[in-house]
Amino acid sequence: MTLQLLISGISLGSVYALIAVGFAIVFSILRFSNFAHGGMISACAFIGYFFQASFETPPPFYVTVLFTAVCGVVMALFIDTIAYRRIRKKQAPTLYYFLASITIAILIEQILSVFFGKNLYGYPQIFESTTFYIGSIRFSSIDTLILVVSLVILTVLLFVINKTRIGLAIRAVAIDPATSRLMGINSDVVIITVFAIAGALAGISGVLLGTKYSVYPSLGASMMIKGFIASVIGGLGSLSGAIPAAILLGVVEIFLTYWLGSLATPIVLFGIMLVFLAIRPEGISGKFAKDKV
Amino acid sequence: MSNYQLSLIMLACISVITVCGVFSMTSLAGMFSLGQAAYMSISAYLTFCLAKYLALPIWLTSVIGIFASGFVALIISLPTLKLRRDYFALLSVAFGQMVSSIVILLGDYTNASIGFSKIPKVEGLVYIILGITVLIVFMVRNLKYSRFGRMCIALKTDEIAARSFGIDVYRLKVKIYVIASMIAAVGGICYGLRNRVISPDAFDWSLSAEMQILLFFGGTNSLTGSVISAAGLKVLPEFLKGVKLFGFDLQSFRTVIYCLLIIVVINFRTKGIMGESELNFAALKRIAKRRSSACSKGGKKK
Amino acid sequence: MSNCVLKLEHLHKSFGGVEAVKDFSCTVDEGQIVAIIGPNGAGKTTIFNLISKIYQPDRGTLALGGVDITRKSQIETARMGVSRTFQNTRLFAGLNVLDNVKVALDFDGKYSLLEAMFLLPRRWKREKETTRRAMECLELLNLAQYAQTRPSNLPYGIQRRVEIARALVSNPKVLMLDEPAAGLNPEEVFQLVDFIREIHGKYPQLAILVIEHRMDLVMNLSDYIYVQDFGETIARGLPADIQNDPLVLKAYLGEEE
Repeated sequence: MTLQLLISGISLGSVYALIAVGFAIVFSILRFSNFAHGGMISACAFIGYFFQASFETPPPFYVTVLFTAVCGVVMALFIDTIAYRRIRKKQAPTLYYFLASITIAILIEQILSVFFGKNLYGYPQIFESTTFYIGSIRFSSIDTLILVVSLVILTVLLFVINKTRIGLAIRAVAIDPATSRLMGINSDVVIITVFAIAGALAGISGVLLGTKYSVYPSLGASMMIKGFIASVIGGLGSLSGAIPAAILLGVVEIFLTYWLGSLATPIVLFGIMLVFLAIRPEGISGKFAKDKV
Repeated sequence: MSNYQLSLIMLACISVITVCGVFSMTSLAGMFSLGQAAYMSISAYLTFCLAKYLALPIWLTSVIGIFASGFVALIISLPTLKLRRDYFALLSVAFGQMVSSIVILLGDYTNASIGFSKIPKVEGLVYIILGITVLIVFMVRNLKYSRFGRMCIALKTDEIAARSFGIDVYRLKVKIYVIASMIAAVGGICYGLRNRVISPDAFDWSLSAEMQILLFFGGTNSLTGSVISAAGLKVLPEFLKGVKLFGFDLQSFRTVIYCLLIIVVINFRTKGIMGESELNFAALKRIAKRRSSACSKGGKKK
Repeated sequence: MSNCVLKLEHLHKSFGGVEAVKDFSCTVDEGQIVAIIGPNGAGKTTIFNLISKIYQPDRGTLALGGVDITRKSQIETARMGVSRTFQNTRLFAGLNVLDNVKVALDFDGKYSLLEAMFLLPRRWKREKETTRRAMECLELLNLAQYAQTRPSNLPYGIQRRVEIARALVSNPKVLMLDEPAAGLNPEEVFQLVDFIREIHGKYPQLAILVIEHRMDLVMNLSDYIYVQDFGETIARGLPADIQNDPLVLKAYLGEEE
């Protein structure tokens, strides 16, 4: 039993990692909390659902994931254009990013709930049976699928961030925007890339969450909170901290849910987070986003 | 006045109360929170549940509810306000979720998601709420034009400079956050008295976000502006009831319309609408200022 | 020296591998104007940040009027009478000039949050007292006519003076001016020197510590000069001695020679 819980915890944590990374990568570059991320996850979950439902025989799962990821990218770039680009050009204070992002979050959630708010939508079954066995251990098919997809995506992402030129540029801008601009890094390209990555991650995590839970307008917002917690514990804006923190969070959450029930879990998690912040405010990674003197 | 009109007035008043709370926190001290609705929830549930199960008078339980909210705000703010503002905004979202979980967890008493409806009817409620609203606006205005208001604006602009003038930034933030949360708590109780039913969904993070948006609409640093927009924008959609456009009920789209409007404002008049609202309210502000300076002059003569 | 106000001994501060301040010692007496000069990157502002406790020193001690303040926080230090201005004026943009000055007195406003919110009598009394002190200070420094103006609407030179007024209003023991002449035109610099002299005359007890990288400004203003280069004190003495010190000339003019 413990092993199964552990697996499903890691699986849940890997989705949280996708969310937390999508959130953290925007924070690391633009230094604001992108609340719109949750709205994008909801929207992508719906897009994925309708894409799959529009075929008589559902397409392979990876097609849905890819399609939704592309939609997520388009949506993220669109949101950037309508909500953030002008603020950025005006170099307005963070207050306006904050407002723009919560406005977009509410906008998406409201549009979804006006049109689809009345029902819950369940993805069509992907696997014939919901569980399978390796030896005597029972695995949930969905959880395993989610785990595999998330790990693949995270690996690709870490490769992009750590080994490619654009990844280097992103890391440079995250550490010191002014100097990187002087070094000839085009910050516009970096910002657009970052939003595209965040959008793709939102799309993928939307589909994965949709297959695990049913789809409803505030799905993204409630999951985003977990992404926040993970990135706070991991050290705000730190990708390397967010992933282990998210997986830890998933495991802790599954075990807490098993022992205490799903209602008491958020309360305990919040308590843990408060204590954690009081003891180690700089997060797991130890990098602390600090204001300059 | 018809019951409907009275209820609209109360709706506007509650909106003004909650936005005043957010004003003291965001506009004065520069703290963002998406958890203010949680304090409304805490105080409303505490007030009405205590009144029901312990058969205490409602005014007493209200006081308990408000102070309990303030106490919770104190507990939450002690570890988090030492950190960067971003942490605080994120934590407030998680905090809101935690509070609604607690409400559902205590479903035996709170009736969980169905909503708690055993709220006593109060006679002349509209006058009470109007009175409270006026009092709260008065208090927040005084806060703005006091040493605390000045210190808040200083720390919002530049924390390090503020510290170098002996301002205890951390303690001041905690104080203001507790005050703001207690004001939200008052709003929560009024909300319950008006609607006669409270449910955890009513106090989710989008209500907190709405407060921030209403505040922004009226001008982030203008109390009069925020008060007017809080009342106006909240009541306006009520007149859209039943109006249809292309077969869509406009009322259900009101939030969508507002959001689009705000996106347009942020994009094209970021400074513009702020400037404009400052102009519109400059006169009011000047009057307020003249009055306060006249008062202080009067004090001098004495 | 019985009237020594500020005493720094063997201060060290490094950031990562860079030693910004090495073994800095200095004393400032009551009513004295002391200047710290040196080229850019000499660690001058770091010394100020150490004195005002924005940074904590790695080693060394600080004493204010005989009291050890090495372990005090920035806020406590400020409240004990160490007041400063910043390199780029850091006035509070949301407040007018009068309120900017008043805010420096507000930590000690002596009325509570409740009294403020309900406009109780003590609030009126204390607020009047604060306004009086702030206006007095503004009048003393000939800034009274700007009281109701927002700082952003004032010329840079006036903003500098307002910042100095804000630092002075709480009657500090030490006033620290961080490159007061930066960004000013020659005419304004000239006025500023007069302005600092004026302050010196009007607050005879006040110790003034000035950072500058322009020699001409401090030569006829200060009583004593410390010259910093790459975190080290390369010379100290009376202005006349400093002017002819070969090391100083080298630090300043070395590249041109």
